[in-house]
Amino acid sequence: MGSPARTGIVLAPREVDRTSVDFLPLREDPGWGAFEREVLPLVPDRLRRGILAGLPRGTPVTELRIRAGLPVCVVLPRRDVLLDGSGTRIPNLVPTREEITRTLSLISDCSYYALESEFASGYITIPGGHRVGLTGQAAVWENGMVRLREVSGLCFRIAREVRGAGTALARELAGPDGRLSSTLIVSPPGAGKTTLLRDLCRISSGGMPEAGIRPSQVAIVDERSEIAACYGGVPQHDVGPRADVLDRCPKARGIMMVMRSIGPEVVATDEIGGEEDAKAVAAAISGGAVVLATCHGSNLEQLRMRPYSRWLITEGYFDKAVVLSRRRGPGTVEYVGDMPRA
Amino acid sequence: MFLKAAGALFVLGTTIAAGTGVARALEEEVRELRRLEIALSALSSEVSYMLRPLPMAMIAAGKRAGGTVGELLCLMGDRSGISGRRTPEDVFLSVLEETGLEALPRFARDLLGELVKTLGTSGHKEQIRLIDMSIDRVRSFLRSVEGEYEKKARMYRHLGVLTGLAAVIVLI
Repeated sequence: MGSPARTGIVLAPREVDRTSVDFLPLREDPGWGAFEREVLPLVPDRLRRGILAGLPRGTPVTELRIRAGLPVCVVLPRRDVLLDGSGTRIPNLVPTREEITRTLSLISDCSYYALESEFASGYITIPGGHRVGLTGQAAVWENGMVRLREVSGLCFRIAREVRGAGTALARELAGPDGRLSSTLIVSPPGAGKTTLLRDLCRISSGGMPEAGIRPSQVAIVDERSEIAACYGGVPQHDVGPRADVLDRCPKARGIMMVMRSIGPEVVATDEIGGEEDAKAVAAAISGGAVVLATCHGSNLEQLRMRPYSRWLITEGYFDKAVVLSRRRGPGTVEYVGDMPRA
Repeated sequence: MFLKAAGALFVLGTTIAAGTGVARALEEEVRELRRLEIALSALSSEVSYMLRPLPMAMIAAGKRAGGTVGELLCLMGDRSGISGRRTPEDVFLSVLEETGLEALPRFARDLLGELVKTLGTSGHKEQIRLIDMSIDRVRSFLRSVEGEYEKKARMYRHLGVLTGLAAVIVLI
């Protein structure tokens, strides 16, 4: 984080931080259960047997990377295991193109035609909320649409829902009217901002009497299917009993749609950035909704460098800010408190 | 005398039944081909307008069509996809291996065998084009065989009756 004296925005992490929360409970959930139950069955038999032979049961898997002609790679929280035949227990597991095609067919529910836009965006969501990233040879059409002609790599990212990640912070973010305050969560990738946002949605939707938060109608505008991880329009993560999800809809348009159509008390959205997003957020807050949003960045100073996030901050749309980092692991809380306007 | 009459009736009945059986089999083939046409049309609209995932689209099309074709499509829809963890081609081949799919006309069997290889593997437009091409093939095949099958069915019926009568006359 930058010097507080220079900008007046970035607050020193602990001295002026009035919260007792310094670490979100984002423990790496052992991903084995979901991996074995929901991901492995989609992998061809030969690969599945090899992976099971090469990994001890209960290994906390975070990613499975399958690339045509290259050894299967299983990513664990702090290292990865390459199934390349090195070592006595590790088999040499090199997927063929046919195996990739077959896996792709299964994860798309044998319905490529119904998922063309997802394929164009480079990932699809499978039951359980896991995301499969796709790589291969792309073709760019005249209208700018990108299409993967030959998929040669699949990256299964095991979804981990951490209930309770936002419980301690919710007390800090509670507003005077029994709802959460409009909050901007800032963090670099992989520091837990979407996990925190999801849990704040669940808390808003279900209420948390001990923190003075009453249940609210929540609308989640989930452009990249990361918050609720919808499969077939149904959230795969727990976002609470009063949450409506607008899945895969552009944020700015989605926020305006939900504001007009379902009158939410709380609107949640991920990774706001451009002018349209900022205007939609401002319109939602001006319309009486609380907005919970995330934004890429290492600190609040970085946000000030971007014109639209600076505008949102200086105009006072957000009441609170949370800054997360990976300094002491994902979920390190660098700052939580009022949004400094200066 | 009574025995002769009973024998004659038995012979006549048997040949008529045989002729009618063959005729019905031919008519059933035509009916299955019509069901295939209905099923493919339904599949095309499920895919093109509703963008329904293939397993669900196949079940809906199978229910609409009925008959052996409908049963096969329902089975493929039920056992394939992300929940069945098999592709429609896998299911088709396993059913073919188990049952031989004798109840389906050879043309329908071959056409479905080719179609399932590419179903669900291409974009929206290509998929519709593929199914529509199959519908055209079924229609043109139906046009070419419908009249012929009807004639053949009539012929087998008459042949059954006439063979029976001839046998009765010879025997009496």
